[in-house]
Amino acid sequence: MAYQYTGWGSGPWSRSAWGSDTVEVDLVGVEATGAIGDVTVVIGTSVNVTVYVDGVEAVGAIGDVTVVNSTTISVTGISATGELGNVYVSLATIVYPSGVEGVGSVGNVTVVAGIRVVAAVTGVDAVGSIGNVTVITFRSVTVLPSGVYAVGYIGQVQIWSFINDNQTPNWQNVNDTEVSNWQAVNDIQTSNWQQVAA
Amino acid sequence: MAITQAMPTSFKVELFGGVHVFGTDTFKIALYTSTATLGAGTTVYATTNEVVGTGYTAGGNTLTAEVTTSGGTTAFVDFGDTTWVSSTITARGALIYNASKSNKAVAVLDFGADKVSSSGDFVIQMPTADATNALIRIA
Repeated sequence: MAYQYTGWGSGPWSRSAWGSDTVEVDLVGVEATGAIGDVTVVIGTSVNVTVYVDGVEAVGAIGDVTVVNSTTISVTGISATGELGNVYVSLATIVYPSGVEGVGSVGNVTVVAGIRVVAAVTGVDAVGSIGNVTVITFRSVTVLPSGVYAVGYIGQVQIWSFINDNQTPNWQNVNDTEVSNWQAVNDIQTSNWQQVAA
Repeated sequence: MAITQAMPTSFKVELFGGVHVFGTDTFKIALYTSTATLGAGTTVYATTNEVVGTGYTAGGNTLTAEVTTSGGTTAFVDFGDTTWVSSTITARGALIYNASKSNKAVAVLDFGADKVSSSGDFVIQMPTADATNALIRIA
């Protein structure tokens, strides 16, 4: 059964961030007297996803249980009287595989998780044997470098050459034949100065 | 000790000398830790303080998808993105160098902070190949 809430605030209160899309997938109580095939849940990464795989049981055997691309995953209570295949959880932020049981054997339990991982693998039991239990965390990074640059300059140039002294001169003699109009200073005018009173 | 983003001075001199032939030479990018000293004075690739980690080989990756052209009055060079797949790396910067010309330095990149991958991809996503953003520009 799956519930999907899309749009501003349409999800239940306290579920994910305000305005975020939410998908909730509950896979509960899958049972069989005989065998159960593989259980697979594959979710995209563009929305907040919560996946609950719970109570998958069989008197016979259960195939692989796989959950891929979820934000929060809880894989619990997977049990088989016979054999249980691999339990594989990939690309999750918070992972809780727990209570994985098999009367016969349990295959590998593998958690491959991304950045900021909480992975709790507990209660993996088998009357028979259990395969490898592995928790692998990984973190990828993308670096966005800016470029380097240089500015080119062209310097100023100086241009010089010999003076051209071959050109025809156009200088002239100063005309000193013009009539002069100067006069002698008149120094006979009456003075009008007075003695300053003491 | 620090990594300062720069176009090495030696690279500028070598451009005048026609040393680097973009489009023909092989250019590589090597990663360095925060203890490295890289900047305008860097002249050649060296292994000192180069990253050591899973998925990383000394000398770094070969750069591909090279673009050398101009826009307006700016000439520029850019490369395709490069990835160290499933690597465990902590790097503070990088040096692009010319593996065809005695590993001469081309550009020093400062990531601004340590960038970390852990069993994941370490990706360097090159800027847009245009006159404003390209990795190496001469205006």
